[in-house]
Amino acid sequence: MKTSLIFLLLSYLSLLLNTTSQFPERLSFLHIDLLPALLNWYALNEQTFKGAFFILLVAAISSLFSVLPFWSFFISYLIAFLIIRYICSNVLELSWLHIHLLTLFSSIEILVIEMIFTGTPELLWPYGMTQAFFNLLLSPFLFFIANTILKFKEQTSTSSRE
Amino acid sequence: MELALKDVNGELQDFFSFPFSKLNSIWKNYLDLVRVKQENKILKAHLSQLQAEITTYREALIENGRLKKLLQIKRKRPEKSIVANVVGFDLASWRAIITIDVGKKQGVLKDMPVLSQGGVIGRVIEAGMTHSRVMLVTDYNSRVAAIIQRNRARGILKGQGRGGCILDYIKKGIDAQVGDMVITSGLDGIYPKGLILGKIKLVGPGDRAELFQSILVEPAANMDEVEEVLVLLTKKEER
Repeated sequence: MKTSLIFLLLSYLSLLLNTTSQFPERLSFLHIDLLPALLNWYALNEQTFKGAFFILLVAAISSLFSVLPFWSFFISYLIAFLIIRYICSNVLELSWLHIHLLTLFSSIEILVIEMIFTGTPELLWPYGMTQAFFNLLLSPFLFFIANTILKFKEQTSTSSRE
Repeated sequence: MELALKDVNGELQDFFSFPFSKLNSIWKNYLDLVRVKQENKILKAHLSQLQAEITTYREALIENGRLKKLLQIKRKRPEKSIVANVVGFDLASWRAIITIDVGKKQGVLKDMPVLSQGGVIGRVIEAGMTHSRVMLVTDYNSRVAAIIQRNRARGILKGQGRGGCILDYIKKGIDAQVGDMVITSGLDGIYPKGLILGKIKLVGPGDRAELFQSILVEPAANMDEVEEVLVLLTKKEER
């Protein structure tokens, strides 16, 4: 439950940051989008069914920040979540690099589905790919924040139990 | 003799007082330095406060300039209008959609035109109670009925994202030149006639097979730098 609450809270903060921050001039098409990295972190730390429910909630919150339909967010987030769940539970032991490459993968997947919903899939290159690589750069930073909060939460709950 | 002894005494006093006077001056310098350090700290704090104030005033001055321009447009327009601030962007960042801080409470409704200092920037596509979403003319899904001001040739202005806009459906024989103003024609029932949309930036021959010219239009307003906008509170029948 702690993981899910952290996921919800950080998702909301990430959405606020994404929709209010803008880079100047030529880089203005890039946004600070921490959600794919967050989805990746969540998929690595949560069970499938419980996780799917919270993905639904985050998709609902995301749709409040956009003119895109709720389903576009839900489908794109859920597919990314389920694939990462599948990879980490069945396929291989993930290294640090693999974990962050999964953020790149989920970014591309989310962008493709959402661009299809807006009728502009041709924007994947160069815009979408640049954004996805930018998300990859932000991924270690997000993992550090999320893990630190989770650790802190676990420590405080252990000490309160004692 | 007495005088000579006094002189020697004086020399000795001078000799012995030297280290004390030196020590005294070092101590004094040290005290001065401490005082200067404290003063420096206070002055630095004061300076940063003044710098913050200057930034605030400069920002207010720039904002004042922008609002004055909007006010000029507001005075010229016969419709009622309301000034709004841009508060956010769409989550789908490839869409040219912004959020403004006015909504139904202030009389804003769907399909109302939105202007900035330069000209038309878009229209309201979603009106909430206190906030609304505006689709900019550069959005891929934006279409505006337009005419070239000089020769009255009618076309449709289509959004092209970061690339600006293209003016479509201008037949090949029509004389369109770089620098021609493109304005709203009013035929779409959304934008009143005669609002500035932009300037023609490039005129290409288009494909041989195509009937129309390919015309690139630079929007009148810089969409990335829009901070305040003017929403025209047009009634449906006025449009």
